[in-house]
Amino acid sequence: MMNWTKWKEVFKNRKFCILLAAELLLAILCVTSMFKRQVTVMPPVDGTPFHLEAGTYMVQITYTTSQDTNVFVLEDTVDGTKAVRFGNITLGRGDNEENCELWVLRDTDHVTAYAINGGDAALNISQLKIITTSADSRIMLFLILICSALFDTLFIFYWYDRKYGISLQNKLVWSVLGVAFVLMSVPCMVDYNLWGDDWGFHVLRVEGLISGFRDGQFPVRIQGNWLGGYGYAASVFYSDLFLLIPALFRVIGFAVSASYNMFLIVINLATLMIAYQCFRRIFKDQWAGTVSAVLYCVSAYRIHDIYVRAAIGEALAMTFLPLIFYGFYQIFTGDRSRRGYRYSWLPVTLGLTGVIQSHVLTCEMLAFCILLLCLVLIRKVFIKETFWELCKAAVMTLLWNLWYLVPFLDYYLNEKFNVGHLETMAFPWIQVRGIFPAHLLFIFYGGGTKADMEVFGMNWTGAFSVGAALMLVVLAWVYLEFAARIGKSDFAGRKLGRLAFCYTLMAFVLTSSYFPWDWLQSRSKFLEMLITSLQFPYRFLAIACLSASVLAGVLLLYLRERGSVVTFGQALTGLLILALFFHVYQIDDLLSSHGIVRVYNKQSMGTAYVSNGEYLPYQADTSLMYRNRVIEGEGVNVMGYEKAADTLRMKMSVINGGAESYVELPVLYYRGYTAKDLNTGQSLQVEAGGNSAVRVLLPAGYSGEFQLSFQEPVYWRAAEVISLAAIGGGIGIFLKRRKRRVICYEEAKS
Amino acid sequence: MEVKNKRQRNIIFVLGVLFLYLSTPLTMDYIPASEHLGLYFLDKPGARGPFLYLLVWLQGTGLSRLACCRLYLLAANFMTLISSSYCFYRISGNVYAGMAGSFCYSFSVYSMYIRYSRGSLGEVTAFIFLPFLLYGLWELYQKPVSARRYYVWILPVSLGLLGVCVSHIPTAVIVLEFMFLAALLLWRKTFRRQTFLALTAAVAPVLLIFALWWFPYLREIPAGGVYADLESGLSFSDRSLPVTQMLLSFLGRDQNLGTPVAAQEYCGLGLPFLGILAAGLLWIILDRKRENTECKRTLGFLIGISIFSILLSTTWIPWSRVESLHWFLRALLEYVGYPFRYTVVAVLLLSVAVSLVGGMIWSRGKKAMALFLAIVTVLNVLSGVYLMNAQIYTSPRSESIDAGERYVEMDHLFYLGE
Repeated sequence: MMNWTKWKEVFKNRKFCILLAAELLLAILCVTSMFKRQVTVMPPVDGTPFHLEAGTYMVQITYTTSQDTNVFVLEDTVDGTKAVRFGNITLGRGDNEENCELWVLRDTDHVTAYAINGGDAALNISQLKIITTSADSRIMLFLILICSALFDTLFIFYWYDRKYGISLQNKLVWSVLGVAFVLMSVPCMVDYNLWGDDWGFHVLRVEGLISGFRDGQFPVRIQGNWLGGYGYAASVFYSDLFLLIPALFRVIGFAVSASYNMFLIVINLATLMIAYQCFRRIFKDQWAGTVSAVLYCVSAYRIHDIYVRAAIGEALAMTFLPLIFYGFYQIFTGDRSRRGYRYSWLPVTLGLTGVIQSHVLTCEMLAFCILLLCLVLIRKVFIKETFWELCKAAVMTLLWNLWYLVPFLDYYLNEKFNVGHLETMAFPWIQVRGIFPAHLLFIFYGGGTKADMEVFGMNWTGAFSVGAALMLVVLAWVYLEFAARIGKSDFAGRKLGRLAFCYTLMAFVLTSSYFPWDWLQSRSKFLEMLITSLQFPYRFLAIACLSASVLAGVLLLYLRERGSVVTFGQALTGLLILALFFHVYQIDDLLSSHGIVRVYNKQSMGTAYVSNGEYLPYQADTSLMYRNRVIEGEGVNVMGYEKAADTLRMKMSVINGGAESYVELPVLYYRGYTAKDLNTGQSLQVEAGGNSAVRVLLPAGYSGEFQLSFQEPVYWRAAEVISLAAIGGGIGIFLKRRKRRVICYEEAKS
Repeated sequence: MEVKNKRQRNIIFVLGVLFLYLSTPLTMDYIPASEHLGLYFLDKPGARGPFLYLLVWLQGTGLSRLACCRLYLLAANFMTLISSSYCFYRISGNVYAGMAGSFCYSFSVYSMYIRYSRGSLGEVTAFIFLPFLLYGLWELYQKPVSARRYYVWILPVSLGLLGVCVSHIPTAVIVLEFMFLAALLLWRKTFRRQTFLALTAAVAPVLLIFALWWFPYLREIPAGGVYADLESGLSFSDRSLPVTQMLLSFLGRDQNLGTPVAAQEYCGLGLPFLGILAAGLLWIILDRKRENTECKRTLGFLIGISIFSILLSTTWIPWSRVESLHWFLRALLEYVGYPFRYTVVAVLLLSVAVSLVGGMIWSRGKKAMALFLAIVTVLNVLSGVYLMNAQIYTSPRSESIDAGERYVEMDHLFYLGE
């Protein structure tokens, strides 16, 4: 679209330079305001209104309770969340200090702070401090940078169009993509989050990532904020790589709800851009790429995943599926004699890495699909160059993700967790969760949430379908096969179309409640493990959305070549209008009927939402896990200990007056915890105690202070180094290739 | 030959897709409105007709009630599509126009309502035969009396009428009323010797057979009312629909229109018929070229009768006064049961109107026809498919196919009237 060497000339434009200068000045002002003097307010705790200026604060509450039933409230009694954003904080039992974020959007005289006593006579708030922070300056700086980037981009496009001209087609394509992006992100343009099944789980993971960094873990393996400080190995089993984005927003100073919405916007943008670039290259047609990308992004199932189920992992994985498809398309259909063919493994590796780092279950489905693809194209697989590219893709994917796969497999195969045990799974038999064929034919999906078909049928059902537009594409292809006999024509895309169609049909069949999942599961332990981990057959709709979108592109190419009654232009307009119409209908109903949640700081969201508890040690009971639950063995006296509410590191002073004994700590046991005496450096043995809590064995007569922390095994570190080296190599190859392409372009130009 | 083969494949494909979508709710493991289907399995005395006996027979082979109802509805959907597309094709002269009419007929809001809201299997069965009846009458009135084999058109009229009579008596009563009205309005053609003979030969035997078959049941029906709703204090007039409801475009979610009978709020006309009414009226009134006068007269006649039948469904007609005029009228209305049933005439005639319009548009070229079919599809999706989806979406799951208490307590059941 643009000649990248020409766009640099924009820096010679005076107006642009003035704009840049103004933006820089604003940014400097924001940075300087970060160093403003801290102000501390000591307000009353009895509900008497007090004044607060607009800004961001840290609320420090020092208190004592004996139960977990007391709540601390800070609110604006007149303007509510339009002025003050805080939330209700549950005060954990014991002597504690909480540091909670507070956002005040406008100067107000009506702020009140008080505790709601849940029948606890011991409740006492000894101190309440409200301290200004620089989060507002950081937020402002971030917003200035984003707005500047947006303005600058628009200015550059405007300047380039005036000077060199941008074609109408390009403008239309980008306008359509822009409209689709805005419509997809409408549910994010509110000051709350739509409640989803996994919403709580994912926001806790984000907070867990931050607490893990505070613990000194890198990468984070055990997140210390879960279960009242007991910790949870979510990061080992569920990669947090992309959660760095909302974590960054949180560190900047955005509230939980705002960070989550911004993250969804980023996911939408990434999905649309990746899908567009991939489909455009596959079809070698801008419009076919645009329509396929839009249909993919606004498909009913994807929207349901992201906004109703809050299945962020799965939605993120869907971002990378087009890249994987593009990669395999290059490998199997690319010109093997071309020099660039030897880099064909790169998109596959990038895509698979994206999926592995987002949602391991999607990998399971992908593995099956890739195996099937290789079987179908078996003759091509064994062509030397193709085979070599496939091997490179497999090996590099493994190496790039070794840092995540080694700990995951180490725990999964060598330790015992709820995941993989039928009796602890919420859905041990998945066939009952399959969808009806009626789901696929249903087109007016709204904000329905129900997924238990055996109880509710299709009453208020979730959007378990590819959507009206993609369904029309599938039916259109059936027509071409049956009535127009496309198989006998010389249309170049017919093989790709057939492949995409077969994959779509296969995915439809696999999602169905009539597919014999239970029978398959009962055949062998291996199949049982694979199938139970899948949980819901309708996950295959992600594959169906991708393959149906590819089918849409092929259909448009067919019409471009041979369209008589319905032309290419009419078809693409019709498909776009259809897709966006039903998308808007779905979003409309979603926004008007769906439950919402407003959470601002981490303390007001609770810590117990482990979803189905897949990563808990086998049969650990979360109801017995509460803050500061220390169990002293015989003869042991705990003199004192220090542990933050949301980190794992703790220090404890003990005296063991008797024989060898132990102390059980309020931390969940995962292999890797170590306890070291702070004075002598002596290591104390750590094992799993009652209810899978960490038990530190104390030698007879031991007296001292020890520190508990999580240390990765050496081979985990080795895997991280290997991955780093492999990724570094990949980046080097990518840069080298890019340089070569620029050189080739310059040579061709001259 | 290749073109003819392709056209056949087109027809099969389109009918296949329509059948698939019409039967969408039957792919679940329960049926919406299943709570209304239990009565067909009750073993109580009452006029059932040969078709509804099929359900009992299927159950006797060992199939579950759900499977029996599902099979029955699948067969009914299939036959409705086939009969309507064939008959409308023959009327309009173009197969695609015929399919457009069939689409409107099968996917009409009323069709969805009786299938998946009301569970009125008798009426669903009658829907199969109405196009044949209309086709036969069309040919008798349109064809010149000197045409060879003019009297062969007695057959579709007889078979269609007989099918309706032994499927659903209220529909039969309504159809006979409108046949009489049409005969009067078209009196010039009706009283041509050949036409009059043909009509008599078609209708009389059917009425005779029907009367002979129906007479024994007359004595069983208690005086004072045929429908259980009467016992809840609702008269025929009380069961009318508000006019607003007939003009609503999107039926499916709960509306606060104050309809007294449960689920009646999903009955209406729908977008395609509102569209053809509006477009047809505008064309007739505003067209100054005075071309296609024969076509315009036919459309005008169909639209006029349709509007009349729509009005009969609504509260605008003083039914309580009509009932009080004569006991015969009261009895007749009791057999009709609900005023909204008059909508079936509008559904049938307006579907034919769509086919006729399609036939006219075909002569303007493929692109015009493609646009016409696209508009018909969009309108049907926004109304009939929307209602079906809404029904599935908002109805609680119910696997039970037991008859309601009010039916269990009755001594005789009017199966053919539900």
